[in-house]
Amino acid sequence: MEIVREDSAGTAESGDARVTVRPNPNGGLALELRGPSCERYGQDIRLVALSTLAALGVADAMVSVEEKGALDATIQARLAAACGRAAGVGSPPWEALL
Amino acid sequence: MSGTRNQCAMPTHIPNYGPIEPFMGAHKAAEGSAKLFASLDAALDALGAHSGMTVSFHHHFREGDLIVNMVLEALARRGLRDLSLAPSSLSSVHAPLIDFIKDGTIRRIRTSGLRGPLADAISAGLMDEPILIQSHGGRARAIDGGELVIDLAVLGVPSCDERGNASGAFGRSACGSLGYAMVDARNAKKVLLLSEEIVPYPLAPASIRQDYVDAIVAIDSVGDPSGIGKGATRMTRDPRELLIAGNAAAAISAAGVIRQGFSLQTGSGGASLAVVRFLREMMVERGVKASFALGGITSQLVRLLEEGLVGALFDVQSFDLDAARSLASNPGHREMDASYYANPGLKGCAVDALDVVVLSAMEVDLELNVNVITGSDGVIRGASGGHCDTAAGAALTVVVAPLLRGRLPSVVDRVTTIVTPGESVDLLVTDRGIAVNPRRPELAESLRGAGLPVRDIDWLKRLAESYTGIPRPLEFDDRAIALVEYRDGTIIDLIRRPKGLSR
Repeated sequence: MEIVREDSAGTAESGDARVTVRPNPNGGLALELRGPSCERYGQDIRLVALSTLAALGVADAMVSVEEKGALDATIQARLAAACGRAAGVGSPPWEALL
Repeated sequence: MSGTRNQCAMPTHIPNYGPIEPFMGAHKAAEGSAKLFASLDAALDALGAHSGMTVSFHHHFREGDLIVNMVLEALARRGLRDLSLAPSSLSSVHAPLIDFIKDGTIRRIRTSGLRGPLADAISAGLMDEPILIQSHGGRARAIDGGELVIDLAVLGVPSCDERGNASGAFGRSACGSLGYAMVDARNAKKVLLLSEEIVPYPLAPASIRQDYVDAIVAIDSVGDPSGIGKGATRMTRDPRELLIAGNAAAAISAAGVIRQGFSLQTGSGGASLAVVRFLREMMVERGVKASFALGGITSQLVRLLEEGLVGALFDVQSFDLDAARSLASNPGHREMDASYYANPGLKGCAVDALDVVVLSAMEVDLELNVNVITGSDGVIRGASGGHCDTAAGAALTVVVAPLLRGRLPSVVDRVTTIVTPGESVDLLVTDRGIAVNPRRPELAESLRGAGLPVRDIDWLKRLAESYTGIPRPLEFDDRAIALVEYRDGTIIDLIRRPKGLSR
């Protein structure tokens, strides 16, 4: 999936995450992670984000995840929705996450 | 009337009695208005404010407090150093104290709680000496017991008269009970009132009495009313908190507590506050009335009093303006000081008479130890309050917490900081099940008999981690930033500096 513009998904509500995806002019993946769970779960969230991006076929993007206590499934869903929008494909390939 | 009889005739020593002081003329106290000073500085001059002294404050104005910052600024301006601060609690509004710690004005702090930028800075190692976290009962024990000697108590009050009778129940910045300040007033070497209104003598009933007060300064504002108290503590509509509250009320019922004349206390958290609503329904349905409710008083408890469902409210701190109004108008709503409430060092305190207390928690561990002081990053952001006092006193101690807060499990292997020891906790009620202290097998039996979801605490922990994954352990360095005192004066835990904050 090719990221062609900046777009985002999710909210800043407790239990959710706000994910923003933009094209990366330098190529490759740049992942920025912020939020109250990072101290204890940063590594887990990073792994889930990277494996989700791999499953979606996103290889070049700047991704920012601002989590507010989101569980893995929420991170996956917000990331997929944001990538789908930023790639201009509308609905993301949800089956890739199964 | 003056005039002296022939004093020369009066011996200074009487056989079989001892030495005496002969009468020298009628004693007349200074005029009532002699306590009134034109400015804070004039009062501090008269009271002999000095470097190294211990200054105390109360936290009845909560997040609206203007007094602590104002007074510390005045003390710093006078060039005083190495002060010990002994407020009943501190909050987010006290961020300006950071500068007074940095410049050496403040050397030592003991408090029940700490939040916001000041808490962050102290957690990162701002102070040379670790701070002391005290419970409300523990602080009263230290003061009434003479262990904590207060040189100067500076007590903000909404109104007082010119002789120093003060109340929190009246005035435009009414905060309700002055329960914490009452202990300071009767023990401090010097007591200075900062009052928003000076009313005609005598202000009655007085929470702080004229016989304890040295000086009074009228000031424009003691606090920001919007931070002092909300109109009424709002009942939560969060379905998960309501579920927890419903489970807690059902467990309290199954434990056999809701009988004629029982007594209760509930904390101020969303779920523990909501328990009152469910208990009320049960009381109405069964025609049962409670004898008294204790502690921080909210509009929900005021409603019980006004409906005749509880005989009396004993108020150490009014949590909202409804409670403050009720204290001023309801005869059954009584003010109590922190020692009467929870001091374990005297001959009895009210928490010992509690049938049930419902308390919140940030973390609970497999031994049922409770943390209400440090967050998931190890940084101080809470208050000890009356947590360990009421848990020790009440016949049934119920701790309520959601199984998860965001991604963070509330049930953990070992709490970051112990404030209340697990041995004084009977039940942990979550949205996914209830854990019972293994020392109370009969309680577990009663709950199971009532069809309640009794679970092993280890099972709850594993359930939480099945959603969140296993949290990475926090790392700390060797620097102690705070000592956590148990109510009897022993140290129950140390708070060390989180590694991420070391420089």
